[in-house]
Amino acid sequence: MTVLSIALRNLARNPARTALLAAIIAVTTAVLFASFLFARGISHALRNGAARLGADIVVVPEQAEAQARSALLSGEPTAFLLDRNVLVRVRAVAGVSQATPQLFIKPRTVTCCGRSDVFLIAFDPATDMTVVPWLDRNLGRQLARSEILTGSGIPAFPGDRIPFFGTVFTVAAAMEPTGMDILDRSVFMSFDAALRMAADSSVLSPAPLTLDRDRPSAVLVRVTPGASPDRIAITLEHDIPGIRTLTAGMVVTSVKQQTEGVVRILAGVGIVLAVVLVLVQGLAVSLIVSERRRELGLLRAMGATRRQLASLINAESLLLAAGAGSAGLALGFLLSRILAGLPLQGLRLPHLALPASTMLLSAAAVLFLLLATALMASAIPVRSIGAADPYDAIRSGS
Amino acid sequence: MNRPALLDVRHLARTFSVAGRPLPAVHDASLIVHAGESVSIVGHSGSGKSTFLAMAGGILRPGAGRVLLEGDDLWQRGDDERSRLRNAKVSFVFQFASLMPTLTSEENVLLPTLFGGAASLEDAERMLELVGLSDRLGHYPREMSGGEQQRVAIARALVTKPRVILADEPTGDLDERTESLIMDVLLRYVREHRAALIMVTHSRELAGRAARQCMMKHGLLEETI
Repeated sequence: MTVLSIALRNLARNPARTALLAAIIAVTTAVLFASFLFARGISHALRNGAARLGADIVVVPEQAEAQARSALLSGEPTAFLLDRNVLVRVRAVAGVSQATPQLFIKPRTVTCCGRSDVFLIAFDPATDMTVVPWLDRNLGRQLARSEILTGSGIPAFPGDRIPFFGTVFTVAAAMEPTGMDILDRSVFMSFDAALRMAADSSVLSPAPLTLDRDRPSAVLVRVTPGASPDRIAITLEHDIPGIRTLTAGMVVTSVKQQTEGVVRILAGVGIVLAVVLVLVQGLAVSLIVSERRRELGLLRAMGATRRQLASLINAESLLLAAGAGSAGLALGFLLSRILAGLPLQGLRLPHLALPASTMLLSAAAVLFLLLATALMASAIPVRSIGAADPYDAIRSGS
Repeated sequence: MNRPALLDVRHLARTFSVAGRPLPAVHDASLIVHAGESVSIVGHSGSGKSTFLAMAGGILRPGAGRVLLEGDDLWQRGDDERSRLRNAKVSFVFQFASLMPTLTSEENVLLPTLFGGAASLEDAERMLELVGLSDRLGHYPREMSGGEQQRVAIARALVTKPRVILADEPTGDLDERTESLIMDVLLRYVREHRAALIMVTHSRELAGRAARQCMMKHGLLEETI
């Protein structure tokens, strides 16, 4: 016979009420945990996406700033071109450590996988800082001229053959989700592959494509260590006419602003639910104490100290919180997957599933919070029964 | 030479507040009990018997007076220390069903050991055998009659080998045979363990089985025999 076994049996005394309380705690925990994971998923995607882009600054044509912003923030397929020599002039600016061109191509028809919003991005393997590092790490080689790399949002598998502008490409690999649409909804190919596709399109495609190696859509810039991306961006705009710069920090800030409302709502929901949890758990303990006042008084008469009595009551409260909370965490995990999978497409929010270790740590933190609230909620009723003379408790409970 | 008192209760008093008005329950009640003694307290309802017993056992703070248990002043101790003294030296038997409904007879008997002291499963079985319930070890209170439940409560009161047993109407609703059996068990324990029994009862006959008899009248305790 232990405190825990007694607590378990006491919980089974009124199974209907215990089940109801457990259901309330589980559902509240589930919504709390799902909201937490969802909000963390958004910030994780922002951090991860910015890091994966690999660039501190993106240089785009002045007149295409809005389109470029839309492409970076929501992966909206777009096509625009910089003037000739922009790349060379960017590389000449002090503080620029690395600069690489990218060419954005918007297919004119539904060409891949039943989707019309596939975004083709051509990169220069010699200088690229976004795709090449990924290929080195995951594929161990660079793309052949007939190969493409797909984002996680493209429903294609390695080995699949997909035509663009009449040229059939083989999927060499598919990237893992990054949470950033510009990366997840794009198809990457080398500059050479894109130029050959454009050249062949006059024969193979009803909608021929014209590309110019010297006119990329954007130039991705990495600044020298210690230099300020914002400062370099200002210099670039000053020194090179007809361009606009977007910094990675600005992209993250823009997405943050876009997602702020949702995150605020989630935080509000979280606070309300935490208060509900404290109230429900407080109610549960108050019921236990008021119903068993005489029993608790008898235990004091047998020699239970206030602390021992509190342990008995808290054990019930903690068991209920731990059991129902664990079920709620599992439910919350499923709910967060559903949230991440369904409505996000419409909201266009960046979202990325958290790594398993972060998820487990978050679950442990929520469980800890739940147990702490259980103890907090039981503090007042436990103190009240502990402060009463045992004889008064016995008499008032009879 | 004076024998040392097992329980020395001096000038206890307690006043309750009822509807905002003071209602004196016990006035200046004193009682000295030695090892091996049994004392019965009779009196009308509301005369202060149970209040006196609760104060003497350390479960109701007196308005005045003191309680010395083997020399320890119960009400000068902190709550934890008083709880430990109760666990080690005092047992209560109440009139009402005082068993935990989720525990078996055996577990109910061992319940005080959850808070201190030591008693084995064999001790619990021996106590239940003593009260004639050796065949009810695994039974829950709902599976037993009122008399059987009270016998389990007696076994629980004795398992920690207390120095003082405080019984408040321990046989109130029971039949004569069970009443007699419970008294036999309690008096035998007191004799064999050199303990003390203070028993509150309405029954003159039951009171007569104790070595000393007192009467509580209007909050005052008088020894009659």
